[in-house]
Amino acid sequence: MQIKEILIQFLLFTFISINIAFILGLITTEEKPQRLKKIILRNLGFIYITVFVLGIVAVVLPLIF
Amino acid sequence: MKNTLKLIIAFIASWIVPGLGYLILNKKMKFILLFASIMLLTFAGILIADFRDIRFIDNPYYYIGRFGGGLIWGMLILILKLVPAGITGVQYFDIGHLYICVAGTLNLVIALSVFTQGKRAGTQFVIAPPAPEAAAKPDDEIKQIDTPLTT
Repeated sequence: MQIKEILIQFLLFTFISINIAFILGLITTEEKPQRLKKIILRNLGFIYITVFVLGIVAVVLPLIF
Repeated sequence: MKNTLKLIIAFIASWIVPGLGYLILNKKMKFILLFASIMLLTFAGILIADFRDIRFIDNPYYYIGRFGGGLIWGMLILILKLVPAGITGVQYFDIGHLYICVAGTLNLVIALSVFTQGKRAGTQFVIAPPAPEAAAKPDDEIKQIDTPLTT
């Protein structure tokens, strides 16, 4: 697998995981919509974890096996 | 009963149009954000999949995933019939179909969350008002008993 392909796949999975994290974060928080910045900031950690895990699963594991 | 009917309508509306149930529950901002993100995910999926349809035999999970949203399902039928495959030249079909499947599944999650959040808000509304009435009742009874005695 070429590095370019790996990078593209990583970006695609990053985008989808950010979207999933954003939607789940928006659903689970029952804050007022004015506090959206707060919600996004609070979910950043969750977004990073999701990206990290999905990145490993999607890119690194196929390289190993 | 009226509240349950409203919740069922919100659930169905949320299945047809992503996040519409939140608009029914007076959460306009949430509706806009959820609708935009689900639609973005669907369009990105269609583009990445290069306008190619998927059959049940190819991947049953991705095929079933699209039924999570009414608008997603309808849009896929329309776009895939109208636009010929192979325009963008992208070769990541699997990821594209995964995008569409995730959009459908998330839409179902949104619809369920609309139902549960509305139910929670509804029960709070029903439970909260009787408390002051119950507390006020004994005083009224005492007053009613007291007044005949004094006059």
